[in-house]
Amino acid sequence: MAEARDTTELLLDPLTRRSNRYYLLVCVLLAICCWGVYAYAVQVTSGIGVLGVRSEVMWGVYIVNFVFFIGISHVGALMSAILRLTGADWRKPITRLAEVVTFASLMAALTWPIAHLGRPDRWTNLLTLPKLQSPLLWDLICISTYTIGSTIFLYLPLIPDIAKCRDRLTNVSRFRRWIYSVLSLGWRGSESEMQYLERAIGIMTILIIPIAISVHTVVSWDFATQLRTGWNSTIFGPYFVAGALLSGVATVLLVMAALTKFDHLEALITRKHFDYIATLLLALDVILIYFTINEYMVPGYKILGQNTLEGQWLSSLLWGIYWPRFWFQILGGLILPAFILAVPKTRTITGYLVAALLIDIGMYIERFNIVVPSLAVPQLPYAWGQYSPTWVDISTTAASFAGVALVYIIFTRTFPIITIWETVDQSTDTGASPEPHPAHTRTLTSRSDSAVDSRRYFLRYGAMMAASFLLGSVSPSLANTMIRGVKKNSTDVTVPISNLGTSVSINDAKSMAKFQVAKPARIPRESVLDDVRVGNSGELVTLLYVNPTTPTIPMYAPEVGFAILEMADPKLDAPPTYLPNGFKRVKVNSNSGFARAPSDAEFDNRNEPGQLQWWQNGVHFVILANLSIEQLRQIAESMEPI
Amino acid sequence: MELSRRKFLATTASAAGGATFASILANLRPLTAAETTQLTSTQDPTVKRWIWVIDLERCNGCMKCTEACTVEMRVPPAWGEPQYEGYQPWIQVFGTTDADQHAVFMPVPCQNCQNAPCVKVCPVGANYYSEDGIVLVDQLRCVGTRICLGACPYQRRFFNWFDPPVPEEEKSIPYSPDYNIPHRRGVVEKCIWCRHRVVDGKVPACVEACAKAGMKVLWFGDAAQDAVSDGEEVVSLSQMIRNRGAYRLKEDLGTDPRVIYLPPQGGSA
Repeated sequence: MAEARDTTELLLDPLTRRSNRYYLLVCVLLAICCWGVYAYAVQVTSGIGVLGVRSEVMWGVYIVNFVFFIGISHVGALMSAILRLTGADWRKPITRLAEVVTFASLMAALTWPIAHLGRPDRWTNLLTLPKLQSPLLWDLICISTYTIGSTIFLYLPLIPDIAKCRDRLTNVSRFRRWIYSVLSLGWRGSESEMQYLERAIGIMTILIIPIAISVHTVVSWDFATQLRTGWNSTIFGPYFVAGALLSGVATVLLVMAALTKFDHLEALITRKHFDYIATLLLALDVILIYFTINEYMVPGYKILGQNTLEGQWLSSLLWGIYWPRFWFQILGGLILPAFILAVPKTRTITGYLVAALLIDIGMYIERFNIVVPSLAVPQLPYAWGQYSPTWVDISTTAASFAGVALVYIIFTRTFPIITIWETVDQSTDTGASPEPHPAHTRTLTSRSDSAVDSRRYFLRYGAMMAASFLLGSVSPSLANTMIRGVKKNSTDVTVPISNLGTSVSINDAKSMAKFQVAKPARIPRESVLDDVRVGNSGELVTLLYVNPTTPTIPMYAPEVGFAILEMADPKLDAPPTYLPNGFKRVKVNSNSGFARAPSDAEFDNRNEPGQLQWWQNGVHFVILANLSIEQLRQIAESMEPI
Repeated sequence: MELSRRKFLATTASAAGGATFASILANLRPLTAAETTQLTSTQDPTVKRWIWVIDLERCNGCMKCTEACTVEMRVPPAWGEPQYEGYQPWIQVFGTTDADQHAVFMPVPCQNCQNAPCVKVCPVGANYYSEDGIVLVDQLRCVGTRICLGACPYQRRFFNWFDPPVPEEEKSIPYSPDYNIPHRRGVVEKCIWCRHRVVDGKVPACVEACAKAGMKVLWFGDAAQDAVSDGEEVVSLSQMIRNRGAYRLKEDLGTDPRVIYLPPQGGSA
């Protein structure tokens, strides 16, 4: 028991220690982050053109970073879910440190898709105007699910340890004590609490694996679904997943080495753990070599030397402009680490670290080799696309790596990085009491009879999850269909500006129009009906008014004060389900419509009159005028048939 | 028989599903050709099916089309892309020599695919087909993921990397996807076949410029009416492409483009 107390002290010790070295490191990392934020501010203010991307190579290191960090984040699911299910108990001391790698790299990965947008100010369109056919939207759904899932998975086993911090660390700042007491959710460590926790972890174990696999598969589909040379691959899904696990495990190995060195955890993270992780790394490396052979050798047999786009793409990788990157990835990032990890002489901690570092660099370059050369191949016979990262690309990338390190370091100084209740308490409990703790029989893998349990769990929650996935994928399209109707709804709510038709008198318009023409009873003072036009074979009637008091609208020549358009357009007989930018919903005599106040020239260089559109008795009305929305609505509500 | 709740629900659900499917099956029958057309065609017969014929035999690479396009659409510059000579080449002229060392030129506008990859991949639905089949971009909706630049197999999409210059007189032009002016930063640009002109019964600006220069390479028309025009005369589409070895770019991708190329006669294209 004394030994157990010592271990607990050892694990809680880094939470109270704050050396100068720590503050220095945090400051350096913060400085790099701030520099990255400055670089991004430059990008936002002057335009995305400050990056190296151009119309051929339109995705650059931002997307490479995204794929790389998403890849790293896979290791949490592997360590805590796959190894938990397969009963590898040695994983316990390194489970949490892998999950924190997941958490930190997901934080970084989430920023890239937004940062690389041409219009980051409109990113909410992805949520409010989604189109499910797009692979990017699948990405959004999968990654947000994975982020929530893996954060829960990190948090659940943390609860007993946070409670321990709350009880033991009484001399830390009030803020941290408050954090501990809030996050520990009043944990007391009773048997029933333990049972619930084990059950919750069991559920998450089953849930997180398919989610994690789906995330990287869907990321690979961003590429594989495009009609692009080099991306026409059916194995991109598993290829990306294997690469993700490989780079993640390599990162965990580096983190393990750093933690044992700085936090003196040699007693818990032993040579055995390094050996096991290195063996896992070797296995994953060999799997990725196998996929790489499939990805390049099989197409190469057919297309190499051909003067086709595919042939040119492959030769650019093998001996063209990209050869140094390609061969470093193959030889330095895959083959050499395999040898280092396999030869008994180099199976030392230093050897492992060299191999892990090589693999991580190799995997970053692999992502680059997938994204950039395929885009550089000219799709029409013309010049190859050029790409080289600019200082903004490099600064933001550096900031992202620094940010991951910063999140990691702050985490290790706030929460115990090795799970105390699993490594210390459980092992001493079972050793001390003659009968196993009842709670522990519910662990999925700690006892042999729990295999039945885990199969039951797997079936039950697997079925639940399959059902919710199905529902989740079907329900938005169902909802869409119900709202919009089955027919294709035009997204075009623009106002016709040309082709208004011929000038007629108001009475002629009444007879020519295919619908009941209406005219406002209340119009701004001194307004005069200047012109009436009928166009589109009687389906469009326009009333043009002149008014000396309101500013004219410039879109019609000669200029008019305000215009009322009436359209019997069957394709636009109902309001569109989405609201165009800058519009808000209004009611006109209980009919739905939307309106926009007149805008001055602003960010979009737009200078447009106010607009009110509404739908009434199958007629689509539009009023254009430099008037406020309320004034527009008053005109609209006074419309009377003539 | 004892029914658990689960079993009851499962039985009811499968019975309901089976009944629905059975009712569909019962109504299945062979269709006549006319009915098939009626069911599958969403096209209003009055709606145009715009088509473009490009006669490579006559093209001498004068680039009048590109110039006219740049003026008409106030095309934004191609920042930092020296090979594009200043402006985004919405209609770009490629050149090469054939086996007999004769120069061959090929103008490439947006192909306006009827199965357009760019429309499919857009995550916010900013790319869409107008009712006459022209692929348009709602630049007020576009978020700038640029995935459509990658998806387009013809590289006919461009991006405003910085704020495009907007002269004072452009600011008052109301924006519409049919006439995407004023241009703005961070969104996708493309050739829209001068939709603002073609709905008025005019041919696109490049076609007009080509005819004015006496080249008569570009012909624009309506496949539904079997007619193409260069703005000066109207000829029959089927007559024009008969026995000319007409082809479309990258037919094998299945994008179903609306641009038909007529290769140079006697040459190998």
